[in-house]
Amino acid sequence: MEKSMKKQSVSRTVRFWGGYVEKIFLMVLVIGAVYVLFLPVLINEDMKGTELFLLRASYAVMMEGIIIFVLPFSYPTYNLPLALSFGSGRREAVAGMQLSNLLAVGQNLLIVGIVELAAGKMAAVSGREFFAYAGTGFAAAAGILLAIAAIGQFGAALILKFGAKGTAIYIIVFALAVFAGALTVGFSVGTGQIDDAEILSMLLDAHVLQMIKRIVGVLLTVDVAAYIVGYLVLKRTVMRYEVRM
Amino acid sequence: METMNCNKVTKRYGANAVIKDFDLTLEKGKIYGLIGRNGAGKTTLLSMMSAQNPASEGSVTLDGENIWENADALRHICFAREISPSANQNSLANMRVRDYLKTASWFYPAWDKELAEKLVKKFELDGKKRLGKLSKGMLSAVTIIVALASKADFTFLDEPVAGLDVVMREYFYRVLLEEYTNSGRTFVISTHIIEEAADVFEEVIIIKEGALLLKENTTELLERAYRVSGLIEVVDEAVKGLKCYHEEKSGRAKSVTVLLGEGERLPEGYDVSIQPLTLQNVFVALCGMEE
Amino acid sequence: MNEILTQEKSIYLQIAEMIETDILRGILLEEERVPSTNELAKQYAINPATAAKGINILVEEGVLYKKRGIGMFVAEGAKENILGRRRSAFYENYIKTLLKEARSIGLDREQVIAMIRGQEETAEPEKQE
Repeated sequence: MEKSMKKQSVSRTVRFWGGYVEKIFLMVLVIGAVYVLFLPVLINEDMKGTELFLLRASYAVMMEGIIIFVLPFSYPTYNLPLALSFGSGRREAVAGMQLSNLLAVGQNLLIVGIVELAAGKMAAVSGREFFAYAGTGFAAAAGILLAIAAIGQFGAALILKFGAKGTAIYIIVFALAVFAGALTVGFSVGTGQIDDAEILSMLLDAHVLQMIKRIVGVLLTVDVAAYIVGYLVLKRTVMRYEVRM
Repeated sequence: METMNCNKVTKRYGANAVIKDFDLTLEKGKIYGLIGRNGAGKTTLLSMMSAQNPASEGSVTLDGENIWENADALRHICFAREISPSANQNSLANMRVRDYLKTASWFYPAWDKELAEKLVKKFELDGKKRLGKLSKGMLSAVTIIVALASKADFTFLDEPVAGLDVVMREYFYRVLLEEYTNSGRTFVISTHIIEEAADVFEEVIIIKEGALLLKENTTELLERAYRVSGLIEVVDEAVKGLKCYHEEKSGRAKSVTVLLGEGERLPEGYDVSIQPLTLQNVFVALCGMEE
Repeated sequence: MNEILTQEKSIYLQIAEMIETDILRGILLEEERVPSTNELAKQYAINPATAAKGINILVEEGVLYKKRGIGMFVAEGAKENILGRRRSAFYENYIKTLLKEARSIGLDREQVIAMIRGQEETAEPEKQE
């Protein structure tokens, strides 16, 4: 029984590239679950519910955002050479990378969404308030994750082309900046530097909401554009890549 | 899947042409030996013939169709290269043998699981062991298993016996022949251990400094190669007009390797010793160091 | 036919000779099946094409014949066939070399014949012709 090559190609791409992401994701999920279980220990009594969920959402983003950050290290050194050595074409490999990215980002956002729903319930926030918080949180998460993914495309291309030097560049220049940003936001919110009552009233102000929506809109557009450019650069680099001994 | 062709294949790294204008035809159902010195371009050639690396110029075709990025063609080709987990970061070195083989099975549509399992046992491999912890010989065994179990119509092996002890090497040749007689697949085996493998090769391809030196039926090549030795003047007379290589002199004696051309015959009536040669002798004569 | 292959002669010739010798020794009898090319290839770790070449020589000489779908068999009269050819080739394969060697060490025909007859030659080697 001969499967058509197209079907085979799709099936092996999903199994190899997708399966790889899922394995990592599972690991992180386990760590995350453990973290959530211990959450009561880490919380001050006077933290309000709203702080709680912002805290959790940002930690969720950071922890699982790491996966997206880490993937570009393994594509050039493990997944791609292995796939090529087994006769995969390069276009197929690039598609596999995109699938992995999609899975990583998509699953992360799913978790963020679930966390926010749960937090909303816990904090007994609902209706307009809830959507203000949740919407902003979700959009911000999407923005951050996509940004990391876009940078990851360039990172993978760099590592592919320049090897160890590329790895160094990726880590130093890009990651630190990204994490500095994310940490600042997460940290400040989490430790209550920003008063949630202030945030709430801020967010409920129609003007502020508009502005935030616009900012997030721009951020997401930039992200998507950067991702596409990154994708093109990565594709070009992969097509020219030499498998060496 | 009848023929694979290299059509004027050239490979450049920078300004340096590592493979030059290579034309080659591989017919279905033969075991080819690919021999050449280190750096002659064996691995580079094989990786282009399996579309793992692009050619700078020229093309590689299977039944006339270019194989580059051609999944339908590539499903019939397998190039089992050396695995070097130390060169890569952790993921490859952490992979267990059985997971490596499982991944291989996804990529080769015709994968023979039973054959793979049988070979794992025969090579005394522990499926749970991680690639980074394997000896060179065991890594070679894994490569061999991938090559044979892939059931690909055109299968290439790059120095498959590196690191195997002699008992395992002989087992490899036998298992290769068994698979070959059962399936009629085409194999190209590159090796440095020429003499051991010579009897297994139906045709031998010699690559020298990136160019094709010869491609010929092994038996026919050996039937036209001889070592002629004796007194210098007598030898010179005897081999006049014939293609000579690898001349060695000591005192009043001299010996040369002679490769007879079409229609040429061995000199008769001269007081010289004429000895048949092994494939290794011929290779060294043709590709050895110039004095 | 359990000898080891040497490097002195083409493999396919050795295969052919081994089968012939087995026939002469009565290891393979007329109308019996000889090992197939695949079996020979596996036994001696050689390429089947080489084994096939050896078998084909014997088919051409009428020592073996092919039964479609079953395999190669020893032909009737194979023994005589082989003996006949080996006798004709005896001069070429053995005598010629013997005489050449004798000449190069200064022994003449008479001395060689005497040796064969079992007499020790005591006279000085005579001048070359």
